[in-house]
Amino acid sequence: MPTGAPKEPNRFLPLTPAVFNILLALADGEKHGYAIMREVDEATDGSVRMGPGTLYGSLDRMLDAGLIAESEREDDSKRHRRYYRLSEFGRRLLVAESERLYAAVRQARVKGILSPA
Amino acid sequence: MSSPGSWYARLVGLLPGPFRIRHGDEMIFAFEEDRKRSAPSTWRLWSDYARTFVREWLRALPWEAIVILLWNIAVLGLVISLRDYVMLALYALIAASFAATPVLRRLRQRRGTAVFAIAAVGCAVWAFFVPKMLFGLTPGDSDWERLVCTTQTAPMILAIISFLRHQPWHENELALRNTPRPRPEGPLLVAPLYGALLGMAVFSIVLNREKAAGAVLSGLTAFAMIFPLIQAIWRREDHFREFATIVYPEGR
Repeated sequence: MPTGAPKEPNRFLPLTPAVFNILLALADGEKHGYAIMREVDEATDGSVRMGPGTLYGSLDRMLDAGLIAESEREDDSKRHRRYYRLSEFGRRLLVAESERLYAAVRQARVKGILSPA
Repeated sequence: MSSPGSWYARLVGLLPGPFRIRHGDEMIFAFEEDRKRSAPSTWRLWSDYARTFVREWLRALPWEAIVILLWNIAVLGLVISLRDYVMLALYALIAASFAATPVLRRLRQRRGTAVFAIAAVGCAVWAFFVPKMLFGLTPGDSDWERLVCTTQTAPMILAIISFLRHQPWHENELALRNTPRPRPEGPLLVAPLYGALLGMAVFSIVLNREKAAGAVLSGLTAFAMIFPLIQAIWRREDHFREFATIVYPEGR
């Protein structure tokens, strides 16, 4: 994982849908891979459906980039699993991307594309 | 008939070792659960696998192997209309240069620098001198022949860079020293391949039968190209576990 000088989140924007949804799924606590997959599926009403390869490939790259951290332990069914959680940088990146998307939504409202909230 | 889950498990076994060891079980679990829960589209799952396969192998291969492959494809495109034996030679070199880096690296992991260096020299002899001996290609004979000879210099320089870059004096030295010496099947299986390739040089000089030699050489190099895959399937548990221990010494 790269360390050293603090990273500027704006340099990493925009995020891919997979990365953004994974970060969002981890915003309220750590989860294992399949729980992330399910949460993304349910939160987006099935419009973002990640396959296992996309999910774990993205998790690997996010670990390398320092967006998330991992730990290993057994789950409730005594199954050995890797759990992922947001890093400080991952959280800052998630905030930055959410603000970027929110600004786009506001602009769409101003233009009458979306109805006011 | 095998279930989709068992096919998926087999396909996951073909992903690069470190990725498969880290995520293989979870991927199969997620695949099965996904199928039970919502009967997902088969096309989506297989296309996800196909993209993952390409992406993870590209991540896993040394950059030199990718550059060598692209370089040779470009060269093949330039000389596609030349005589058959030139095409055979290029095909052989494409296959061999693509296969060389991972095979040589595996040798180095298993038997140390000495065997690796011998194999690298053997490969260099083959890549540099066999085309010359086999087909009489020498720089300066003609523009096309000079092209064929000189364009192979860059891949070999890359192979040497790869050799130096993956030497154990880098960060993996401690992991290599701490890794128990594996069983010797790997080198014993690879050795005949390199022996055969080197033997081709003698064969071509003694018999001077360019076309037959070229055909045999092509067959051997095709085997060299698929050899890592055969080995990965045949002895994948030992091989992948060993590889993962070296690459991720802190891992399982």
